[in-house]
Formats: sequence, structure tokens, C-alpha cells
Amino acid sequence: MYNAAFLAMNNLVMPKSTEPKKQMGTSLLSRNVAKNGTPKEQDVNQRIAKYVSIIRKDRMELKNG
Amino acid sequence: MVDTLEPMIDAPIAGQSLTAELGNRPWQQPPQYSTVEDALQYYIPRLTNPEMLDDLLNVMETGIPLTTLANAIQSSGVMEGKHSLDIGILIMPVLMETMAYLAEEADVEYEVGTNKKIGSDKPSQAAVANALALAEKEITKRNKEPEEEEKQMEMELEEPSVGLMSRRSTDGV
Repeated sequence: MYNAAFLAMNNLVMPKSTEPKKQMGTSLLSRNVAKNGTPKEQDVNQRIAKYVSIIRKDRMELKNG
Repeated sequence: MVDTLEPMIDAPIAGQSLTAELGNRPWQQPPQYSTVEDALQYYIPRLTNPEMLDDLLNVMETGIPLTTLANAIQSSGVMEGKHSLDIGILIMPVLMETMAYLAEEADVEYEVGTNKKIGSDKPSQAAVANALALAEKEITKRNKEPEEEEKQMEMELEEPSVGLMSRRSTDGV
């Protein structure tokens, strides 16, 4: 049988861990506002992957105590 | 084509979709929840509802995989006109992960229904075989490299010819 749930789960591209933000320079001529301050609107697949990763993280914490 | 004696009862009867007035079925109406977030807000409280949760955990304990359960849950939502089929397929991973969370919280063993267990650190057999093949190739490559280096060293260490017309050595000896 065609298992849609199996495919949906296996084809989910999980989000990569976010890189640590670079600290802004403190010199006089340095940019004082972060360049990419506003987050981009995410695709529905990315949103689903994000929700799954959040729940999975909680589940792993539950398992590890 | 294989001829079977038993009739195929899996498919809908021809013209079945015309037995009701168009628009009378819930799935022929605009869905109640049009975004994945709305649909999840409908499902998550239902899954975590204590009455529903007991039944769900009992079903999981019987060994029915989460993929099958998620499929059944979203299909019923589509039939009730709660959301579209697209939204149903999109939210299935979240439903599965939520059910896995609930099962682990209740210490219930469950079957995921995918080849590899979700979130498992254990690599699949195919990945292990691939890694072993790569390692073997790397080892043979490394074994070959010293032999080639030795050959090159031997070539360099060849005794210089001492004939009258031979090239003089660069160090002037």
C-alpha cells in the first residue's frame, strides 16, 4: 500500500542548527544594526520541519531524563 | 496481468461519486481549517485529551505503526471536512512525532512504521555497508601509496653512471 505518512516523514528535510550570531564590532565605523534582523517568511515544509524538530528535541530530552 | 478469482473490492464502485448531490459531502465543501497551524491547533488538544490518549496508547501498544495511525487520523479529518488532503499530508509528520512523544511520556512501546526509527542515532544497515566499503577503499589506497613512494625513492637512489659521456652530478663531484 502507498504509505503517505512514511513518505512525508522520510522526505522531511530537518532544519540545520542555527549558526551563532556574529558579534557586532565596536568601532566607530562599524554597522550598529544587524544586517538580517528580520527573519524570512518560511515555506510550509520548513515550518513543519521546525515543529517536528521542536517536538523531537523535547522527546529526546524526555528520554535522556 | 494476473487474473484473480476474487473480486477487487478495494476500488470505489463506478459512479459512486454521483450518488449524492455535488457539495453535499463535507469534503466537497471549503475546509474548516485552511492552514497547517489551524489544523494542528485542532488535532494536538484532541491527541492530548486524556480520554482520547488512553485509547491511542492502547492502540499503539497493540503494535499498529504511527504511520498508519497518522494516516487514519488525517483521513478522518478530510472526510469530516476539517481540512484539505494537502494539509492532512503536510501535518502527518507532526502528528507522528506528537504521538511518539506521548507514547514515550507514558512509557509505552510503539512502532514508528518507517524503516529507521525517528531520531535514532543508530545508522541504517545501508549506511554502515557504504561506510565499510569506503573505508576498505581508503585502506587499499593507503597501502598502495607507500609502495609507490618506495619505488620513487629507489629510482632517486639509483647509482650514478660513471661513463665518460654521462651527465655530471649537480653538486660538482
